[in-house]
Amino acid sequence: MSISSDDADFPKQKIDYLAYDAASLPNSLGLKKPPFAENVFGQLEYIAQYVSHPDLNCQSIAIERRHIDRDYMEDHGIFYSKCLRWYPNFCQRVHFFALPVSELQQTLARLIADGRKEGLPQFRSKSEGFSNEYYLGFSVIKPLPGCPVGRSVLRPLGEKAADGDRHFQCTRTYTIHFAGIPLVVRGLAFQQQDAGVSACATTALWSALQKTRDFEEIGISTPARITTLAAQYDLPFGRSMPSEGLSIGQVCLAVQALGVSPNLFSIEDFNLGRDLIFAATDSGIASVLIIQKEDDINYHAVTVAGMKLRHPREITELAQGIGTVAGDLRALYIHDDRKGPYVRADVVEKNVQGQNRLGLNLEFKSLSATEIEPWILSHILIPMHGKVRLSFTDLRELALRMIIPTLHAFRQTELPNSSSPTPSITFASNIWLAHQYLERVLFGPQVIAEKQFDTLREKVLCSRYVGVVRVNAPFIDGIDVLFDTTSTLKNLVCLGIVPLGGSQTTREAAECFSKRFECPLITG
Amino acid sequence: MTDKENEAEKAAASGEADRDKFETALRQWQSVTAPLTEATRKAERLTEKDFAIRINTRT
Repeated sequence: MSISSDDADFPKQKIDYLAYDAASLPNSLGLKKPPFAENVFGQLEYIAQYVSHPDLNCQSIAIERRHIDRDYMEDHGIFYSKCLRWYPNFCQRVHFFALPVSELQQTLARLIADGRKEGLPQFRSKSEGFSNEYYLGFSVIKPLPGCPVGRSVLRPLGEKAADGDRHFQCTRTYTIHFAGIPLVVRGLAFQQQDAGVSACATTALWSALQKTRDFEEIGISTPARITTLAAQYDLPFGRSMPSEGLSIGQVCLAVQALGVSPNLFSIEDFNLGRDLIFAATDSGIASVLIIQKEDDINYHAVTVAGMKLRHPREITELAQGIGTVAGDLRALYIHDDRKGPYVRADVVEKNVQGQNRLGLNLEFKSLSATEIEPWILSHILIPMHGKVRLSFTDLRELALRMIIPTLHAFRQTELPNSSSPTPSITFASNIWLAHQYLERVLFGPQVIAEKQFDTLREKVLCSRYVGVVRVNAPFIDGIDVLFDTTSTLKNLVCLGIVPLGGSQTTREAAECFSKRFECPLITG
Repeated sequence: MTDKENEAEKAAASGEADRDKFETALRQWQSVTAPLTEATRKAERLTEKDFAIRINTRT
């Protein structure tokens, strides 16, 4: 049976299955370099090369020739539908698979056939299994000759690398439907700026909010809407579209208008910057980094999708006796709209006019060479739920001003023999949804006993988001100090103290915290 | 003074000495962490200049 319509132009879907060849991807998509434009296919070529990485091993692609993309449709409605030149309101969508094209078509057909026999739950389960094994993600290709890469979600590289472990906490699961089959991919959406409705700040924020939507219902945040909201009350640089870039203030306005709170921090200190990025990323919150070049007045915005950590982990001291887990941070994986998703950025210490700043060396690999682009971190913008009043800096301050000094004082008073050399107390601060915290202490890396877990889940009333400062030292098993994130530093509520082991010293130290901070000790 | 009262007084004196020792150590460590705490607070001190920064790197 075929689709019929009185209108001869009634749209029809067409799907092409092709063997993968990175070099011919623009041709396969029917893209041509437009006059006047430069480096048009930079992002597409990056993606083509990215999916060729041995960890992903793309072997075939499937192209939907007509795809309606929600983000582009809104950009089209607000901007491109009003151009003299006609732009279609539909895109193409290319899917990447890690199996040969002949097997791809057979496997997809088999999924449908098996689904008919086995029923819906089996069909969905098998589709997910297929996705986990072979599906690498997709890229929407907009009908804009100068900036074709639209919403793209690609699987990140594997965890193990030669120089450390990759962790992509700022990714989420996307379910898409391709030719009647539900496919899932875990990633963080990326797209390039079009300099029409969006600039780099818009797309960086758009990517970060994709992750926020994973745990909160927020307003529709297409690039066009972000730019519109940003320019609603403040137009420091004139017209909003074509986008000439946004100020940090405008970005904050857009975040606020979408129902999220912009937590903005100015970073002039290397250790602080590293701690905050680590804390936000480890908590699964995608932050926007505002970066600048040392010899340039231009600022740029990128989104953190993941990080590379030193393996094995080591203690890094901020001062004698005070360590931070963030010292293991070696590199970040960022979405840079000028290049592509998951661009590696090495974290380095950089002396700038006498200040010890956080430098990011962005690594751009091409077939012929690797280019390093040095930037300096200027600000961090962390989109948070509005009711989270405690910030990551508040938690860091609490760790440094109260928790670590208290534990050192306990050690000196109660364990006088452990004073030489001074053992390092390391801290980590996180903000988690309460259920995420419960999962952490249930499944690790540091777990608590069964009865203690029951007390925690049944008798402790937690705020929706819980602030957690975890301290570890050679003389204890580890202790978590839980804070109500709806409280503020002036009227702080400590929800409880959770010892992460059963040693006598750990228990005594936890009791000491419990008395000093006037909060319950959570034991079995 | 009975033996029991003597012991109680000694225990109280010892407890007070421990508390003093604890408070002294706490203050000492707070002075060590003070510069780090100050650097943390500084990150939140934003001015109009921060909000006026223009982010406009082109592709």
